[in-house]
Amino acid sequence: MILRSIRLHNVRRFTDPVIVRGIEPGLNVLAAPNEKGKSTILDALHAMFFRDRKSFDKRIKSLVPHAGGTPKVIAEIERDGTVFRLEKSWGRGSGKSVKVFVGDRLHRQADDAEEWIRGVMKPPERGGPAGLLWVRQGQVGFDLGDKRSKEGAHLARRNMLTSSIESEVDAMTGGRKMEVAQARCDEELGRYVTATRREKKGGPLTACRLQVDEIAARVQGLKQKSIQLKEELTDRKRKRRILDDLRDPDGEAERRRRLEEAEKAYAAAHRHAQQLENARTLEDSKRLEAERAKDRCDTLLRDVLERGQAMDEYQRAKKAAAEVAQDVDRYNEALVHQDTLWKEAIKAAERARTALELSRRRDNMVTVEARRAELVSRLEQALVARRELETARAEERTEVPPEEVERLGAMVAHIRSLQRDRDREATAITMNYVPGQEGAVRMGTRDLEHGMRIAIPEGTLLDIAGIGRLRIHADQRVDDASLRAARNKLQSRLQSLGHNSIEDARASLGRRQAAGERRRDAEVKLRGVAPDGIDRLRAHLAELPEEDEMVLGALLMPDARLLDAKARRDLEVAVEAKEHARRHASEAERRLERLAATQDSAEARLRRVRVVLQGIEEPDVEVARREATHARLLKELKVREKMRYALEEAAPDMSDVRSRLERARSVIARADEEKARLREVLAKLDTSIELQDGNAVEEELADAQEQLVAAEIRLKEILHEVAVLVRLKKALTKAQKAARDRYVDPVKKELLPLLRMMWPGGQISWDAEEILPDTFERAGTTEKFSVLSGGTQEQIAILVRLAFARMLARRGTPAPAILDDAIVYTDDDRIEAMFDVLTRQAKDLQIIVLTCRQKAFRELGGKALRIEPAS
Amino acid sequence: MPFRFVHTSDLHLGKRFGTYPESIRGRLVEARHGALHRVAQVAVDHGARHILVAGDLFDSETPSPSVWRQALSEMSRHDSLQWVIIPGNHDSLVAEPLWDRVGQYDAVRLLAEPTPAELAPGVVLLPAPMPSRSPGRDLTRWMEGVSIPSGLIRIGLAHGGIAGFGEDSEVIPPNRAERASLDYLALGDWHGQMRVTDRTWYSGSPERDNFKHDGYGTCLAVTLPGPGQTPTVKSVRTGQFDWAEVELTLTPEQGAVKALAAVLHAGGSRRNMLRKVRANGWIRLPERAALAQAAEDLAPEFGLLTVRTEDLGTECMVDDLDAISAGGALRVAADELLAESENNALSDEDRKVAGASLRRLYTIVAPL
Repeated sequence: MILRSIRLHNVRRFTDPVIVRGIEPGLNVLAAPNEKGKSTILDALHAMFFRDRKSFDKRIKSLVPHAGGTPKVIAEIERDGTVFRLEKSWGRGSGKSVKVFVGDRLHRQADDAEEWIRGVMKPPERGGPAGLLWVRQGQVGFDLGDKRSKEGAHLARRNMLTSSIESEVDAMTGGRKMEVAQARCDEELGRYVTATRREKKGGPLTACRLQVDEIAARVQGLKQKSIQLKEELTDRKRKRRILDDLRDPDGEAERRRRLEEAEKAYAAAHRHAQQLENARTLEDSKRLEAERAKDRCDTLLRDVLERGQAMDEYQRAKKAAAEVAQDVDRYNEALVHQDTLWKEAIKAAERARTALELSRRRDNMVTVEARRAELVSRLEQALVARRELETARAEERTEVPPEEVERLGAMVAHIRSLQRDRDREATAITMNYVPGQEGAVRMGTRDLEHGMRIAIPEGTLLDIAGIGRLRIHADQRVDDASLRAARNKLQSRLQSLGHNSIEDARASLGRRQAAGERRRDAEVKLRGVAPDGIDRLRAHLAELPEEDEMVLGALLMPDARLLDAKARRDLEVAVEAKEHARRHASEAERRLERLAATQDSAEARLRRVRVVLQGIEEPDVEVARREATHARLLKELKVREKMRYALEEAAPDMSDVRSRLERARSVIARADEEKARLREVLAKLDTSIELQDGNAVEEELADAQEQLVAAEIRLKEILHEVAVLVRLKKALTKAQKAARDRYVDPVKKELLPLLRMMWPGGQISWDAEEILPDTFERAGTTEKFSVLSGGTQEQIAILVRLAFARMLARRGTPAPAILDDAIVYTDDDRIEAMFDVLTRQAKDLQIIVLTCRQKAFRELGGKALRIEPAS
Repeated sequence: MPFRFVHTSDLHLGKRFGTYPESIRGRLVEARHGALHRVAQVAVDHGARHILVAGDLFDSETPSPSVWRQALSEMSRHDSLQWVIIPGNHDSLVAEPLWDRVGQYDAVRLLAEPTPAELAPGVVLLPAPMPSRSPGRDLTRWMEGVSIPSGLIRIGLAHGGIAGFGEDSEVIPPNRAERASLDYLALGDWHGQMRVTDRTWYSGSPERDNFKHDGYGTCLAVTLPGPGQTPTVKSVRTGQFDWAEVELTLTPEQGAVKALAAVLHAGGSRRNMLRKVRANGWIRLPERAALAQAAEDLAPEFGLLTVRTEDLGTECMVDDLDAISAGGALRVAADELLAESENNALSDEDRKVAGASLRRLYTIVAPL
């Protein structure tokens, strides 16, 4: 936004319209003496942009002239290339008005116009600073009204400088409103919690929580008492009912009647029990008598019977023993026979075993002889091979070794080479025959070949057929000493080897090689037949046993094994037969022994019974007599039993009768005891209940429970209050930090080059908490702002303002910077630098300087403004 | 000749009102004791000799000596009156020591057994005393089968809740009077006055004790013309305090302070009024602050005044937020709190805290 003009009517001293026109985008200076209305213009502008037309507070009232009237302000602003005219007046009733024109066209009015102006004053992003910036001396901006000591100290620290800068900082960070809000949050939170949000000792939150705990504990205690009280009341009611029942006269009479009945029943039962005991004694006596009679009868019958049985048994055993004795004899004879057979079988088996042993030894001997023959054969072959080996080795040693033959061959080749050299230098002849005369010339024993050169170093003798002998003398002598030496050396070597020529030597080598072949064959053969050596072979042979003629004589028993097997089978049969016969014989003997024992037993029984029955003439008659006695006694026992049974049937249950008696006695005793006990218990309960009544336990409990509910509600309210304050504090802190990050740091950045124009190397540090300059460093010294001179403070204040304006301009929301007598304390030297700064910033900012220092500001340059009457 | 009596119940003597502020508690306790005298006066005015107390004369089974002694002393002041009492669930027959003492006073007739009792010549009372706090059965059932000579006025006296016409185990069927041929069934337990049928009534407490039942406490002055005839029942105020829970529905355009004043406007002494105002609807930030201030200002005039605003929404207009700050960090904080208070994705508690934080911010900075 760029301010173009401002027109006032009925604003303080300007009862007649005045105008400041021609305000340009760059630097503008309105220099006029004091009391000419410069501050009025500033206040009017402030009202235009920040006071609703409906406002009529002390700020607006201060605009009204003494004579009265409706203050009206008209301002022209340029925004995004369009010029708007804003008209606003304040007053009661119809006097208030606001309109926005574009040219002569009404653009907005009333609330729309107010909203539009608010939009102009704010950057596009909500929460940005206002669109006008000004410095006004001494204006604090807001009246906090709170005189708390902390705040008071804080306010005291805000001198002219900070209040000036503060107007911008406020716009960004919430300013003093924010501080007040933060301080109130801190103060109220501080009542409840510590800085770390812990519950504050002695604070209302802690007190409330303690109260809740205390009441809850009291409720708990009272509850227990109340429960005890109710239990006691219930117990008392129950016990009293029991006591009433016990005291009931009808009940007591009934208990006594039951006791008498029980006592009578017990006496009758006791008598009956004695009768029954007597009857049982008589019955037992009779039963014993009858049983004795029965025993005597049975004993006699058993003895008679046993006598007959023993006699029969004795006779049977005797007869059987005679029969078994015959069997014993027969089995013994058979046993003797089988024993004979068995002994024969043993002998046959021994013979067969001997034959088999001989046969086995013969087989072993055959194997030994075969081995011996093989060893002898191998020994003979080995001896032959060893002789061949030794012969071949001897031959090899006597013949010429191959290396000697090679050496001789070399010597021969050397001689031939020497000879060829000699022949080339020696006289030579060449015979060229005419056709048909070939072989006509002979040299020695051989024909001269046609065209062949033949050296004749020492001359020669030629026989020419049909012509005669031609002697040729060699005139030129050839040196053949080397040849002769070589031949001598060869000859000497041959002689040392025992040979005359090289061919003999070679023949010797051929024999040596043949001997070698034979030696190798003999070695192979020797290893084949005697791998471990001939001595070892001889040792094996010596180890073999000598021949056994007797064994060899058994060679004529080829079926020894068959005979042995048969003999074994025969022996087994004989053993089995003998065992069988022996078992039969033993069995018969044991039977015979048992029969003898039976016979002895029967005889003994017979003797005992005879002793018992001695004196009884007729046992059968005696038996009949004893049986009659027993029958009589049984009849008498029956009678006794019936008598006893009848008494038993009629007998009362003694334990039942006794129990009833005891119970009847006990009931009365217990009732008396219970009455006494209940009286005592009830007295105690009454005392306890009365005590509880006096303590009003239930009333106290109900009261405490209700108090607990109230205290818990209070605690909840306090916790909610703390949550509200914490949330508010968090929101404020967060917003303030965001504003700082968004605006303050960029402002610092813009400020630095301006600062350096005034004080090369100058540096400002900022109070992070207050977001205000803290110290100023220049020329190597650092000072607190509070001790800086007034001039320096105001200069820095203006620089901060200009930096802020530059920051807004860079963000696309340029705002005019208005300086109202802002440079008062600055000396002439420093003011020059300040003018440079203003001029520099005015290149892309609108700056309006209002000053009373007309002379000093003449040097500033820029567009000069005037307050002039509006036409 | 008609038979006249007074029907009351649920005096709950000894109740201490622990959830209420200290300033009113003593007065409420005292008013409760004073109800005895006022009920007696109603009986005198009504020409009755009997006051039927349908249970819960005391708040507990073991009231403190000062409570029961002062009560019985007050009840004995009128020689011509007899207080006919049955124990209720709060002071059941388990409280034997209490009732032993009460029974020693001539002015009191305790009916501890469910058997017919002659109240006056030609008038039979059928009581249903509570043997314990929760007996688990309908104690009035015996009234149907009891044999009583014809030509007598039959009055039932019981304590407990009623339900439908089913035979629930513990509740009293609402047609018990008709089924048992009672001329009148005097019921207690419900602290508000209620007519169940022509012959069956809850008298209500003579002095209200919470906001569940509006208005003043009452008792019933009953006249029975004769056996089988319809009774005449007259409600008589006995309460000292006027209890009321009122709803205050607000809109942003409405002046909240005036609206509060309107709902609190009522005749009578505000000193004896207890009011619980439940505000709901929506108002703007300034109005809300003004409402809170008005409630704080008015409270001392009343016996008790609370304004609950849990259900009251706050509508924030731009002007309201501008009153906090037109821009800058304060405005950012206010916008954030407003958004949070309207964010349905958050818990109800978080929204409430955010809204309260915004209101607090407004309260702090708007006057600056």
